[in-house]
Amino acid sequence: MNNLLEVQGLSVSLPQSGVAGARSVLSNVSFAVSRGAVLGIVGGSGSGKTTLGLALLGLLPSVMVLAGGQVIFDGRELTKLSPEEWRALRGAGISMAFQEPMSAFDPVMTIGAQIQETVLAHEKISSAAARERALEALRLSGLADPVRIAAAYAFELSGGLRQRAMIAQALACRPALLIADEPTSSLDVNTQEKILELFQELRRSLGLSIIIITHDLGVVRRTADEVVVLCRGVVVEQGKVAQMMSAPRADYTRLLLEAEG
Amino acid sequence: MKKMTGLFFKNKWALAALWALGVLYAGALLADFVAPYSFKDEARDLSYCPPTAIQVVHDGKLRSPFVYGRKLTFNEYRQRIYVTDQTVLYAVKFFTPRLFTVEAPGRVYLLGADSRGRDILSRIIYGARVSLTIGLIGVLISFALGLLVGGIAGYYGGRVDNVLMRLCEVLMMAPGFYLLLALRAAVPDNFNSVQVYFSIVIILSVIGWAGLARVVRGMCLSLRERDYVLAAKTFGLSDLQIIVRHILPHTVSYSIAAVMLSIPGYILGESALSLIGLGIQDPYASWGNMLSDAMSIVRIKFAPWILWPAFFIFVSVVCFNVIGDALRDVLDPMIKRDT
Repeated sequence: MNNLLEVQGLSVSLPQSGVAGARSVLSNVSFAVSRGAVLGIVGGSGSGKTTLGLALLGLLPSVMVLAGGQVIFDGRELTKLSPEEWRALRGAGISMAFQEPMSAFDPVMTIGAQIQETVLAHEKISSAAARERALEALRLSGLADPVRIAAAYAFELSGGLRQRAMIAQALACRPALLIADEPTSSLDVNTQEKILELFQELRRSLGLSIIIITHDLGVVRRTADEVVVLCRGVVVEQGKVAQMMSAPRADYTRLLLEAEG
Repeated sequence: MKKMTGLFFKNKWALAALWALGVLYAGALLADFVAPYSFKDEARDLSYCPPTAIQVVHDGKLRSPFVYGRKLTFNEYRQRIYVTDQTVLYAVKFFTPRLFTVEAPGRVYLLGADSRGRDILSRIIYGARVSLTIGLIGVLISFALGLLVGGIAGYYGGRVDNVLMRLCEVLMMAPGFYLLLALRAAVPDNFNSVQVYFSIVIILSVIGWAGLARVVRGMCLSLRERDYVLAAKTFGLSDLQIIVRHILPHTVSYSIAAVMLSIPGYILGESALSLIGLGIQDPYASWGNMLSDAMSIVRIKFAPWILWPAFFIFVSVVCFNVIGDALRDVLDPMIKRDT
C-alpha cells in the first residue's frame, strides 16, 4: 500500500486550560491518504477538524501542543522536522486552501503578486518566471482570464473566483497534498458544485491527493473516497464514503446524516 | 487611494504647508543659484549690517534696481551704526550666475548680515540643506529600525517581545536631550562637517525609533492573528517575509502620519545641538548654529535680524506638523468626516 500520508495516533492537547488541567483537542487520530485519493474529514464545530489540518502543517496555535503520534508524509516523519524543513515543506509538499479566501488573501497585495511570492519562497527562479508560474496556476484552477485575475485584489473578485485563486495559490508549487478547509462553505450552491468539480479534475490531471475538511456530508459524498468523522477530537467512524452513507456505524454520523436530510 | 489624496488636497492648510515646504526645499536644492552670496562670503567691515532694501527710485526718478551704499559710524557707546549713504549707488546684477547680486564693493543684505558680514539670507538658504535634510534622512533610518524592531517584537511575541520592548523603554526613559548630548560626546571631535552631519543624523535616529517601534509592535500583535498571515505561513513564507510583506504594510497609514509628525523633532534636535555648538561647525551654516549668535541679549537688541533662522525653523516645523495632522485625518478610517 503506497500511502502519501499516514497519521498514527495523533494527539493534540491544550496544556493550560484553567483548573481542569490539560484538555485534549485531538486524541489518538489515525488515518491514511493514498496518492491521488480524496479524504473527507467531517465534524461539527469544535470537533477539532481545523486543528487537525493545521497540525499536519506544523502550525498548531501557540496554546496547543502535540501530545503524541506520528505523521508520515512521503516517507518522512514530520513531527521531527526543523523549522526550516517545515517551511520548505509547506506550500511545496503540503498546501492549504482556506474557508474564507477573502481574508486569506492580503488585501493590500494583488493576487498575482501573492502567488508569485509563494513560488519565489520555494524556488530560485527569476520573478518573471515566477509570474509565469502564477498565471499558469491560475489557469490550472480554471480561471479563463488569468492576467486579469492576477492584477486584481481579493476584494475585487466574486466568491467563486476568489476560491479558485486561493486554490491556485495553494497549488502554485505543485504540492502532492492539498488540505482544503471548508472550501465551499462560503459559496452558493452553483459555485460550490463547480469548485468540487475542479477538485475532481485536479485529482485526475495532477494526481493530487486532497483532504477536504467540512461539516457538510454532501460535499464528502460528491468528492471523497474515504471519510473520517470527528466528534470532540475523537474519530467516531472512518471508512469508505459509500459504506458510511448507507450504513453509518456511529450515532454521531447518523445524527449528521439526519440533519442533512 | 485617490479619494484619500483628494481629501488631503481639500485641506487648505495642508496644501499651503506643502507649498511652503516645497519652496524651502527648492531653495535648498538650488542654493548656489538662489542665494546672492556663498555661505562663507565674508565682509568684515559690514559686521551686523542691517537689512537693506532694493530700491528703484532715486532723486524722484525711476531707475533699474540698485542699493544705496552704507557708512559706518559709532554711537557714544562705540556701537556700530550704519547710515545709508544716498550718494553711492550699486546696481543690482542678475544671473551672474547667481539669481541676483550687487556690483562690488556694494553688498545686498535682504535679511541683514551676521557678525562677519555674511548675508543671513544666503546662509539660511544654504543652512536649509542641513536643517531640512537631517529630518528626512534621520526619519528614514529610525523609521526602518522602528518598523523592523516593532514588527519582530509584535510578530513573535513572548520573550523576543519582552527583550525588545524593554530595550525601547530604556531608550525612552532617558531624557532625550541629555541622551543626545551624551551620544554626541561619544563622537570624536576631529570629524569634518560631513562626518558631523551624519553622526548627528545617526544620533537623532537612534533616539527616535523606540516610540515608533512600540506602537508598531502593538499593531502587529493584532495583525499577526489575521487569516492571511496564517495563509502565508501555510504557503511556506519565512517569518521575515511575512513581517515585511504582509504585516508592516498594514501599519502604513499610522506610520506615515507618525513619520511626518516626527520630522520636526529632528529639525529641532539638530538646531539644539548646533545652537550649543555641538552640531554643524562654522563656517558651514545650519539654522541652529546661526542662532548660536543670537544667544546674547545685547546682540539681539542691536541686530534683531539674526533671529531670522528661528523664523524658518518655526515655519518648517509648523508645516510638517500641519501635513502630518492632515495625513492622519485622511488615513485614519475611524475619524468622522463631514462631507
